[in-house]
Amino acid sequence: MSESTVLEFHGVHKGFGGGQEPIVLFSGLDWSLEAGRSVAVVGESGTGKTTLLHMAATLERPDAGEVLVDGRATAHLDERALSVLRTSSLGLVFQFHFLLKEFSAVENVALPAWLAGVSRKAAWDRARELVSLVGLENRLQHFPHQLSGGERQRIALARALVNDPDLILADEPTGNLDVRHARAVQDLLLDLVHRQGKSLLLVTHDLDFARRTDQVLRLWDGRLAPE
Amino acid sequence: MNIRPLLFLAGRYLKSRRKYRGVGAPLLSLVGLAVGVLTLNAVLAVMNGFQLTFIESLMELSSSHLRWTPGDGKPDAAMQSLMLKQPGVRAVVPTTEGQALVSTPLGGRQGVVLRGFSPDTLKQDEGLAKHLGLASQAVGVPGFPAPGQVLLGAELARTLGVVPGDNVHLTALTGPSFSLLRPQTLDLVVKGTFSTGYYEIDVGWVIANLDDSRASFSGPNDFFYAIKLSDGNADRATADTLARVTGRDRQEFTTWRDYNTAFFGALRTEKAVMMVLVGLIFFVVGVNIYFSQKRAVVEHREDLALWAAVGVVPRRLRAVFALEGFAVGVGAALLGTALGLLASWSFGSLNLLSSEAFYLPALPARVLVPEVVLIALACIFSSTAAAWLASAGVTQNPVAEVLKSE
Amino acid sequence: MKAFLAWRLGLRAFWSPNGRSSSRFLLSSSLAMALGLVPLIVVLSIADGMIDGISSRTIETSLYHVQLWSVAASNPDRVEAGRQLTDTLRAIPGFRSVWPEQQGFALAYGVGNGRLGLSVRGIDPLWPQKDAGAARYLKAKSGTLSMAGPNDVWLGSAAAAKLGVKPGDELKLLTTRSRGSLQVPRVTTVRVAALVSVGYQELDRLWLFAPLELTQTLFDPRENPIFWGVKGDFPLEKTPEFLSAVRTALGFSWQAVSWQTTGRSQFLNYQATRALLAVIMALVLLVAAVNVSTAMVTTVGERRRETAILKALGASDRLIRGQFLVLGLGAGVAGSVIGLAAGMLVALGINGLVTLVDSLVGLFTAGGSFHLLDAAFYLESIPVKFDPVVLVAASLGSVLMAVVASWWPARRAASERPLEVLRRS
Repeated sequence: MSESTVLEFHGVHKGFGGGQEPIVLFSGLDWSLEAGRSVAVVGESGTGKTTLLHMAATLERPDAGEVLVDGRATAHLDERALSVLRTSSLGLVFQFHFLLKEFSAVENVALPAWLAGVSRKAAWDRARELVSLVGLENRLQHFPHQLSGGERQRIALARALVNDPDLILADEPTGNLDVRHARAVQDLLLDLVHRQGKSLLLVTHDLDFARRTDQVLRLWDGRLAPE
Repeated sequence: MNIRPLLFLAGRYLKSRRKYRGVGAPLLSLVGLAVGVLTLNAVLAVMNGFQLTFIESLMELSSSHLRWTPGDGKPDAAMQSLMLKQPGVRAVVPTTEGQALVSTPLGGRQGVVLRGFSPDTLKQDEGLAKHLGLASQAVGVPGFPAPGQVLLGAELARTLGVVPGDNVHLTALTGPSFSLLRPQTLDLVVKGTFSTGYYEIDVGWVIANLDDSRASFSGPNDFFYAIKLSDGNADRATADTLARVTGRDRQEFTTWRDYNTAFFGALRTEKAVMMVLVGLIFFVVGVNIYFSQKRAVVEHREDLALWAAVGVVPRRLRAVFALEGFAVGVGAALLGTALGLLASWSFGSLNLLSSEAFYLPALPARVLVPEVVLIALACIFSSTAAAWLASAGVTQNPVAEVLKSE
Repeated sequence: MKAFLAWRLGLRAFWSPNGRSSSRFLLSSSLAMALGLVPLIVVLSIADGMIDGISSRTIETSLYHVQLWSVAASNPDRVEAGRQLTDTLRAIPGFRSVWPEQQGFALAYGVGNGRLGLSVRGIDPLWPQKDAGAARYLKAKSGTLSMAGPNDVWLGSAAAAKLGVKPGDELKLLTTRSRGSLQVPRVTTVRVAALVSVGYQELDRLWLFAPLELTQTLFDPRENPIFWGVKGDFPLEKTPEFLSAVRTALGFSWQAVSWQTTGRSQFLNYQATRALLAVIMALVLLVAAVNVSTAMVTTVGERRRETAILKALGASDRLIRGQFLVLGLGAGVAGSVIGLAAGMLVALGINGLVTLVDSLVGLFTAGGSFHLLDAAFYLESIPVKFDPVVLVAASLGSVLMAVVASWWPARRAASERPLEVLRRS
């Protein structure tokens, strides 16, 4: 395995639904993502794009095969170890922002770092830095219900970056936003990824967005093929 | 394992309840637990008050901590001073205990417990003097009787219609053996009365002069030395020491435990039963907290899935919910304990009981710190455990399901 | 019509799948109320049973229902007086019998140097056999309950233990009589024919029964007058009527006092203790009602949407409130029924429970035996009395508490504005 891969799939099988007609999404998927590259996965609904992302995020386990994150095999890791892995190596951005409504913008960004063991001061400093980076420095103390949809998604992005992960996993990050805000968030995401040298695995319906990454892959019949 | 971020989370969730879901549930649980803590503290304080003051009086007046009975029934000054020298021994008082009939010229008559004390007893055993109400040197306080004098319990004097200065007769049978028992009567002057607060003693005791009692009324086993200790629980150990030091047979020493086992057993049982019954409150509120917290876990489903997704171990999040239970428990313990102590202290000054039903003028209340702590800990434990158990739902939500459902 | 609807809505709310988690919560709160009711029922039933048991024993073997003290001559001829009293009182409904007694103090001395002050009771030796009430409680633990010889006595079993005597042994009794200003002591030797007990040591601890002929020589009737004890068969609450009938029948030559006067302080003590215990147990029930309140708050919260829709469709505030109150009522009734049944079962089985505890703890204690309730202080076995009034009051009180606990959440539910709720979701 190359030292510079952040994500690897080896012989991954995944299906769901037992009984009469189980659905097989992947049977023997082999694929890897190199460090510093951004890849977009497109495909029709139901092909398993999100499941692919969840397996990369270690939120779901494959039925068979291996998923390696940062060179580490994840199949035999327990919840605790997986948590540590996620904290250090992964940043997740979802279609829905999942901000905590009881906490302000800066608190939402700082908390994952603080919970991961970073000191309170360091976590808050980094959070402020990232919120400024996404252009919301005058919204630090605002609560989610006081932010627009686009602003919330930007905070979610800042949160994904707070632990300085090597790999960002984004599932339809702009799916809920109108055109103008979507564009702004897309610019921000790609800019951050390139500037900070991170890897990105993006799942999206938006082909224009997808084409702005280094490589576009189409998921069909359990296989990833260049678009 | 840094607890501070968890505290931050728990605190914020508790605060935000007020805005979103109403502070009802945790507040009600807190009040319920506080009621339990308050009740237990107040009830136990009163039970302790009754029991401890009674036990103390029992120790001081009646059984004393230890007794040494000389085999020949005669005083032994050397033994007395030897025993007094031992560490932990507060007082050694020669005395007799027997039964007699007291009667008045007007025909009043009663069977009484006859105790014989010398006037020195006032100095030798201040505890005894205090419990008899004889300790102060004020005018009207009689002190222990000289030969020819007696003291009557206040209720006894009232029943017999006798005042200080009157004469009474004491009659008993004395003799070396059953077949040689002969009646003996003494005519004595009532020097004064004593009052202990215990009806049985105030209506049933007569205190005579030690020499009178020994000469006229006492059988061979009635004379003994009443030994008081600084630590009542050291009775057996001290008895062993005294037997060793004085070279006497250990059987000659008897401890208060030997006398009163059934009584103390009964007291212990009553307290235990009361604790169990009122302790049900903790269980009932614990159930309440359990279901409330389960609800909270469900409501925070998304949050929890998110935390798991960004890498926080679910177990740590359980602590957040348990902390809410802990906070409720601590709040209730503080509130309930404060109120319970307040109630206990006010019992002593309020005349809550009608004197027809109860002899005592006021409710005695004694707070035992270990019990207060135990009650508080039980409160905190039940609420924290209930919340912790309820938080098990945290680990049961499959993250991906929750994320997908949005 | 509308009220009926509230019932149906309320019950449906409980069973509908939407409200499943709150249903569990409500059910648990119902059980919590049952749990809170159990100690109240058990404590009250046992207290009532004990008070009843102690009262009956005390009245039948000690205080009598009414005591008669002659105002006229201090020493009326016993047989004649007895016959007259019986003839006069026979007509009173509830009258059973009348018995003479003379009481005094004596110091008893036993062979083994045991000494004890005793309450001597001079009686008609046939009393324990002829009087059904006395026969019920006064039993011989050893020896025979008869006074064959003129100096045969019966001794309380606890006293016998202290004196170290058994049937057949002798006792020396010391008494005094006044002769002018002198007190003349008298020593009498008696024979213990039987050891007796009424099953409550607090009562019979210091009793010595002797023939009335004997006590009349021990005690001066002017100092220790003979009185007559009247026994009746009537509910104890009817005592004042009985007393009044006795007084009317006897006129002024006899002073009559009932057990309510002679035993006053003792029974007040019991009643006060019972009341205190009931209050404390009621607190447990009160706290359990908190559970109902919390469960109801949750239920209301879970059904906000449904409530808003109902209101938008025209349901009145009263109907909404009624729906939740019905739920609370249901929880209260369920808890009440279960608690009542469980409480009665526990109370009935309490003797067995105590025995079980005794044997379990006895396994661990040094002596090998353990008595949770030592016979020295309590009745020998725990009697249980179910007073229907008490049971109904406790159950109804419990239901009422549940309804009251549901009141505020139900009001909250009724006062929410439907549009706000619907808009928010």
